[in-house]
Amino acid sequence: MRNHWVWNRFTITFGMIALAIVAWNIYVSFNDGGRIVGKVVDAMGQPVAGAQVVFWRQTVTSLEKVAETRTDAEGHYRFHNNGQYALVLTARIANAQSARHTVPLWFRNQNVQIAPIVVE
Amino acid sequence: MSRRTRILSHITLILVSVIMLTPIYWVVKTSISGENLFTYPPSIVPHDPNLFYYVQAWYTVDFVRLFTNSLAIAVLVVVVNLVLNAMAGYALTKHFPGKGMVLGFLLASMMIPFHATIIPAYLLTAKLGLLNSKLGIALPFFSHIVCIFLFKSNFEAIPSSLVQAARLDGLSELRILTRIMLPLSRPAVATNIILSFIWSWNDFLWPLIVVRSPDQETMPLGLVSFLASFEDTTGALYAFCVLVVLPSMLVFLLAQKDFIRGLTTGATKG
Amino acid sequence: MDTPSRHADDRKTAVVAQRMKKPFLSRKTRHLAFVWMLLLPALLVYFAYRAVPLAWNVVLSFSFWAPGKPIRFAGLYQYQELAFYDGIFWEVLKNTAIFMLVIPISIMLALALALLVDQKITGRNIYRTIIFLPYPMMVVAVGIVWRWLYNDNVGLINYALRSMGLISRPIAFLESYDFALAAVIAAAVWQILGFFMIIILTGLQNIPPHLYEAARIDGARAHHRFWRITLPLLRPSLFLCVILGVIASFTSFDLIYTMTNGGPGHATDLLITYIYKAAFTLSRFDYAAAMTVVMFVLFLALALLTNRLAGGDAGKVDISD
Repeated sequence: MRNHWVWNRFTITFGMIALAIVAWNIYVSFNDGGRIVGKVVDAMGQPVAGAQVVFWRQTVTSLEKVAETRTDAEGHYRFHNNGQYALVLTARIANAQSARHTVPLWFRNQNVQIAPIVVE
Repeated sequence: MSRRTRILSHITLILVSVIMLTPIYWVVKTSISGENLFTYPPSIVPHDPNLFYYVQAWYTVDFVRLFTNSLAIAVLVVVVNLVLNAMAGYALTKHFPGKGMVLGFLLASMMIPFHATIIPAYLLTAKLGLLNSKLGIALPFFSHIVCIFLFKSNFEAIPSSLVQAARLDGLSELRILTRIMLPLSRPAVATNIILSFIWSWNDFLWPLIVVRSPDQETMPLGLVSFLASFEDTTGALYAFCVLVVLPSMLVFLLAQKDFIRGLTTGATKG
Repeated sequence: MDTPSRHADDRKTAVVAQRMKKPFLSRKTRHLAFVWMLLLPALLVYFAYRAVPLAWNVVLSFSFWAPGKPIRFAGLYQYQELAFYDGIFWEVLKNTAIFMLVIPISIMLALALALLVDQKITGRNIYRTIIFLPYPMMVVAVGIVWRWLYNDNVGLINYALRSMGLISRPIAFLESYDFALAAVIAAAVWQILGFFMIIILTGLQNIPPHLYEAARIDGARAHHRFWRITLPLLRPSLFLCVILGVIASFTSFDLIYTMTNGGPGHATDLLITYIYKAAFTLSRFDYAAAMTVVMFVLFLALALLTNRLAGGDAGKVDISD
């Protein structure tokens, strides 16, 4: 009788859901440093040093600049504490420019490794 | 039944099922692909499905607040309903002067749709100082007459010898209700929980009237204000729709039998 | 099971109680107090949110009143206004009447479906679940989904009609005076159909099978059995659907609010949405109260009429007294 009230499909289903939520939150808390790392390459796939990388925020109507940085000698760039759940990145150097790179995230401030941005 | 009628029945039913499911499929599809918000002709199968509209919906509205508001109200409604309905149902199994009047009053109340009382109910809630509060949203739904009668008939089906034995053991009436009657009325309890949960969860008009500030908004109100501020051209809106519908769907699918029994025995929810 | 045995119980308990201790109050009084204590909270809720509002509505409808102002007697002023000076009220009333087309449409479809899923065919439980599925969904979400299905540019319905060659250019269903109400009705039917089907199905399953056996032995054909046995015995279920449909027509606020908000113009405004607008956007509580009284009287009249037509047993449900 007692078991019937405690172990039924309701408690099991909602228990599983609660468990999944807890697990997800634990995962999030270990991965929400907001680090964005990536690389800028040229059309040949060679790393581009000194490229200006701008990190934008998509609002309802427009793009808003959040931060910008320059790539190091190996073409790497990194941002901290992005605070966003969807990123828009652009890179430019001299007269070459990349396409808009939109990266949706799974949660706010997620650590991400971004696929190489190509400038041409 | 002949083979031909069997096949014809199946064809008809499958066709109807497809029609019934199409809107549901369509909203789920858009919520995971965002397609045909701008494109024509719409594609039937989603290309490149993803869950990012859900992420967007989650952050665009304060989803946790809406959810906890709705849930808090629903839990309050469900718990109070259980207590009040079981008590009233138990009282109605007894004989006492004025019982006919009480039954008449309840049946008459059943004939007053809540929608026909919104203006005075609003004024009353304002007088009580409960506008824009969870208690104010929950208060009118603290009891469902259908469930009172459900409990009554369930209690009446319990063998009286059991009750008598308990009485001889010296159990008080209240103990009899909580220790003997309720554990034996699982179906009524389940039906009551499910009906009051779904009705409270889906309710829109009353919160719309009572709620004045965004921090008290419930899920349907959040959905409507989302629609108002973003128009219907974003996949996030449909992701939000799915998220809003999901809890009551889950409860319904888990407890189909109890839900349907509650509806068909009570029928009018008033 | 009530009267004799219960009284015997009571007497026996009384004896036991007396033996245990001298009660402060007499047993009868305590029993009464206990019963009323159990009943009171629930009754209070209904008293406060059903009985009082009903009377309050009537009082308001004969008054001039706005929040923060003293109440003044208005006689029939509000009723005169809605009857003679408010053309929209009549339009809204007409819309509500048209909206009741939901009832016959859903009932006919539901009856057909109920007969189909009442057969012993494989997967009938799945069909039932699918057809019933829309009913417990939140109406606000349903309204938003349908509003988008009806969209003139990218809506599925326009697409389907165009690819079938039925129309040559898209129709903005919800913005058109001709189609808006019909479009809303279709959505309402979609949602309530499964509920009606379940009610009729319950009615079907309560028909004793031996009646069909007897008819079959008498050589009655299938359609005879339907008209002579099934339909007459389904009367209470069908009329229950009618009453529920009437209630739905007077209370379908959420669907209208999200799909059209009464527009275009007042083409899809029902009584309930018009009352809401009068009270909560125009703050004309007194006028809205008068309309509410009219709505309630109409509802009551229709419900009683339906009950009379049903021979007094519409909505006859298992509320054993």
